[in-house]
Formats: sequence, structure tokens, C-alpha cells
Amino acid sequence: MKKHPELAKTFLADEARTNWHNKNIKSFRLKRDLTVKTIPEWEKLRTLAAQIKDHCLSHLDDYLLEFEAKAIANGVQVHWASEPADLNHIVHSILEKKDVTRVVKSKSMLTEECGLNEYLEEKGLEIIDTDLGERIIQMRKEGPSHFVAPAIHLKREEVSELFHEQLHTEKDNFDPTYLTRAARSHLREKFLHAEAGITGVNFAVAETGSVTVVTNEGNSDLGCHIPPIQIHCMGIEKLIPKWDNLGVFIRMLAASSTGQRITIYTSHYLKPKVNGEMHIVLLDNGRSSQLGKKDYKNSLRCIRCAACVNTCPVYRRSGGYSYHNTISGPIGAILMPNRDLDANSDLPFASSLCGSCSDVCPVKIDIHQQLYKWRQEIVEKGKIAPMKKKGLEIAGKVLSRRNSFQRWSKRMKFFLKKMPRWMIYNSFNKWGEGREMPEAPPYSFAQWYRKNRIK
Amino acid sequence: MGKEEILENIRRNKPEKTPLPVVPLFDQKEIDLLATFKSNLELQNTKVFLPPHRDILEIVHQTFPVAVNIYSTLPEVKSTVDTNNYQKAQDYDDIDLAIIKAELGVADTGSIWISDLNLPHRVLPFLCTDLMVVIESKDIVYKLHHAYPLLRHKQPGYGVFISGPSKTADIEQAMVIGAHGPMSFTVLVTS
Repeated sequence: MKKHPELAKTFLADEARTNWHNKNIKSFRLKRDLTVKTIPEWEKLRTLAAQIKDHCLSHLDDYLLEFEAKAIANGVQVHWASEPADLNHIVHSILEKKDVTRVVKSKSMLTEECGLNEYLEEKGLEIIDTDLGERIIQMRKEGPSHFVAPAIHLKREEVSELFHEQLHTEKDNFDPTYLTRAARSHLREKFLHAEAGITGVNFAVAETGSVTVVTNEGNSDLGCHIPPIQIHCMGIEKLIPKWDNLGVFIRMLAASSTGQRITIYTSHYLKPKVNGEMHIVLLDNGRSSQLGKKDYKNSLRCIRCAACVNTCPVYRRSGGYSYHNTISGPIGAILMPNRDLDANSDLPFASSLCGSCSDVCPVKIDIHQQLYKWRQEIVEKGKIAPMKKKGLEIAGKVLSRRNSFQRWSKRMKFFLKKMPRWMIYNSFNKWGEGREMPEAPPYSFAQWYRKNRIK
Repeated sequence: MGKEEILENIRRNKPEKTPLPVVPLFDQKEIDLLATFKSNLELQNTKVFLPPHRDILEIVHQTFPVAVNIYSTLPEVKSTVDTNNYQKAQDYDDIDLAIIKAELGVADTGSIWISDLNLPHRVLPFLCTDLMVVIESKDIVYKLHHAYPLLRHKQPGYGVFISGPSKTADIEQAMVIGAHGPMSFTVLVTS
């Protein structure tokens, strides 16, 4: 399986496109900053959000039971799934009971993780993703490259070509408004004929047994209000204790994500509609075991805003597909190794440890510290590439012995000063592939100190 | 399997208990609620009428000159359609303009709250081509921290904060107003 360095190399081969991607994603960070500056209590909100999540996670069993009891009292059916296969089976059973063949789904990264679409399609159901970005990648048979803006890696010309082929829009008309209108018509038909709607969950509230979903497009609501059956899929860590806590989280989610003060629609689903069915499916998939890991449990506070993704210089220049998981970027790099350390041992190294992610995280996850801890664990378990291991061992030996360090520093300075460019910049010098080597200083600090300070 | 296994795992792994914090209101004195409400709604492409303003019927006809099928839940504005013909969700697809009474407004985010306690069908504010809401200025509060406690006891089956016309920027981050929900959003504040 290809890992981040190799996948990123492919992405970077198109330098112009990389620069475009970098700028595009960075604009989310800039919009976020503009809004955060207008909220004087922002840092207090971050602390409160982290504390609310920690309290909930430390009482998770009690709050889940409270949530289930309240939901059931409201006429909602609650299901528990340990693994993705269980979730898929549960969702299919609900649909099969009522002979459902046409399903619409609003954005749910959880169901992507579970491969729900493929599972249902194999069983002969039609499942249409209704978020525009998700619909685009569904039509292209790709996964999301960014969990808030799934098609952000695509250019309008590519979307135009896709719509021309599959929706018969005008060739070479790549006006985003024209294309969005075409998608609106196409998806309106799907909404009107759907027999079931599936959504993800941004926040579930234990006190009211309710779920909250945020969108800008209105697709979650159309998908839930038109067909008789609505199914909400959520990770168990999406729970918050009190209804009033929504005040904190709703303020922070859109601001962190896109720089909006709030999304266009903040929908609260409490009870099924008249003559309708409402289901909530709770998924574990490793979350309950992550809870027990002192070093990593804070990652369960995540509200999937993608602020860390948007700020990460590595993500911006390597793209979501380089992380070979639905959840990419810094948060993906600390969550995925818990699921499968072997498959994801590359991810914590896809970082410069700049710490920007931790700065912007609305729930104060210590992301860059967890990246560092994962690295230590991966090295201890011997799961890094042999070349890297050898390199780090040698570096460790040189850097920890004063005489060795001074000897090698002198040799390095001589080399940089005297050797021709072709000797310095070649395939042995990975660092020099995209960078100029530092200028050799005239003397080392030790030499300066001996000359100027020791009397 | 499933529930018991998950709960067992949680009980075994959950970290040491920490308390639930008290969240302040983050209130501010001297806030011009209506002005804040209007500017935050306008940020998300909403058309806002503050008092004093013309008669509601005049505003409706001037703002929506071509709307034929109008569904109104307000007594002051008559629906132009026979509301008895609207039973199932799909029926609402031909509504050009929906006019709905909002229960609550939030100035800080620029949002209004509608719930199924005041809707003939939950889908009405989504299938209509254009959406207009009317809200009394006394029902506008400052922040979400003020709003949520007021909503908790109402116990609707469904409620939503709406802040603008539907939109998307999924294609190259180019903002397009009018995604799957209404193409426009208008808020009329009455005193």
C-alpha cells in the first residue's frame, strides 16, 4: 500500500496545481481568522468546549444511556454498532424492512469510513450523496479529499466535464453557478422520489435524545423531511451532555470550518415526523478503546471542523488522498494509527510539528504533541522504514557526542564551502531537492565562545 | 454484542471524571440588537427589513413580484394556494414563496428559529423557491447562549436555525447562492 511520502510526491509533481491547492485551502484558514478576531471570548470558548467534551467522555456510558432513553421516549429507534460491518448491516435491515430502494444521504464521513454506499449498492439499492461536493466525487467514483469540502481538489473545468458527461450540461460551460443549478435540478428529483434519508451527526445531545446537523445547502433537511424514514449515523464521541451546550459548539464549528458565524441551516431532529420513522445508529469502531489511551484520548473531542487540515502546510501541499483515509490531515494522522498502526505508521511523520493545528483546534486537542507521541511509539515498535531508522541512529550518535559533533560540523562546513554544486545537490541529498543548503558560517558557536567569552 | 460490548469497553477505559463547566452568557451591555441582527443576516445574503417599514403586503408584492404560489402561515398574508391541497412533502415543491412566522431570533449569529410547532409540514421552508420570515423584535435575543435555554422546554419534533438562502462553495470555493434549499431569504422584523 502506498504511503504518504510516495502519494505526496505524485501530488507535488504538478507544481502549479499544488500551488493552487495550497492557496485554496489556506483561504479557509484566513476566513476563520477574520471571524475569530470578532469573537473576544474565543479562547474562553475553546477551554469550555474542551471541558464539556472531557466531562462527557469521562461519563460516556451514563450519557449514552441517558441519550438512548430520551430518544426512545421521543419515539426514536436507537441502534448500537461495534464495527463498520455492523453499522452497514443495521442500516440495510432498516431499509429492507420497508422495501426501500432509493436513498439520499447528506454529508457523513462516518458512513464513508464504513463503506456504507458500496454495501448498499451491492444489495441493489440506489444511494445518492446530496451534498454537492460529495455528489461530485460520487459521480467520479472517488473518495473525499477534505472532509468539509470533499471536492476542493477539483477545478471547475473538471466538474464541467463530469456534468456534461453525466448530466448532459453544456460542454465547456464551467460557470460554477450554472453547474450548481444543474446539480440542484438533478438532486431535487432524487429528493422528491427518495424513500429514505441518511445523515451524519455533528452533535448529539444526551439531555434531549436529539441530534443536530449543520449544512449550508439544506440537503440534510430535504433528505429527512421528504421520505418517511430518516436515519442518523454517529460516532459515540459526538455526544454532548446538555442542550444548552450547543450554544458553545455551534458558535465554534462554522467559525473554525469556513469562517461563517453559523452555517445557513442548524437543524435539530428530536422526534420522527407524523407517520415517519427516525433512527439513530451509534458506532464505536475503536473509539471506546481510544478512550483508554491517556496520550491520545483527547483526539475524541474532535468536532470535525477541519481547522487543523486547513492550516497544515503539509496537507495543503500533499492533498487529502496522500493520507489514504477518509479523515485526513493532522486529526487523521492522530486518529488513524489507533485503528491500524501498520497501515497508518506513515501519517504522524507527515508533519513538520509546527503546531499550527493545535493553535486552531476549537476543542484544544494537543494534536502536535500526539503526533510526536505516535512517532515515539512507532519507532519503539520498530515500524519505521529501515533507511529512516538507520539514519536516525547515525544522527543520534553524532549529535550526542561532543567531539564527534564538532568533527562532523567542521567537515560539513568545508564540504558546503568548497564542493561544486553537483556534489552537494544530488540524489543523496533529499533535503536539498527543494531547498538551498544553509550557508556555511565562518566559525562555529563553540569557536566564537572560546575566543570571546573564555578568559 | 453491540450495546453491551460497547458500554463494557467504555466502562473499562473511561478516564477520570471531570466536572461539567458552567457556561456564561458572554453578554454585552449597550448592544444594538436589531442592528447586529440585521448586519449578521446580511453577511449571509439575507434581505432584512427593520421597523419602521411599509405594510407587509406591500413588501411582499414589491420583493416578490413574480411569485404566483404563495403559502403563508401568517394571518396577515393570505396564501394564494389552497392549503388543503398540501398534504404530503412533495406537494410543497410548487411553492414559489413561503412566508412563515419565526419563533426566535439570534442577533450574534444572524439566525431565526422555526420549528414544527409552527409549520404545516417540516419541508415547507426547504422546498419553496423563496423563503420569507416575519419576527417580532421582542423575540430577538443576543447570543446562542441566550437562545438555547429558551428553546429547551418547547420540545418540538424538529427545529432549525436559518441564517440565509441556501448556498454552496463546493466548486472551487466559488460562492453560489441557491443550492438545494431556497434561492433567497428575507426577514421582516415587526416592532
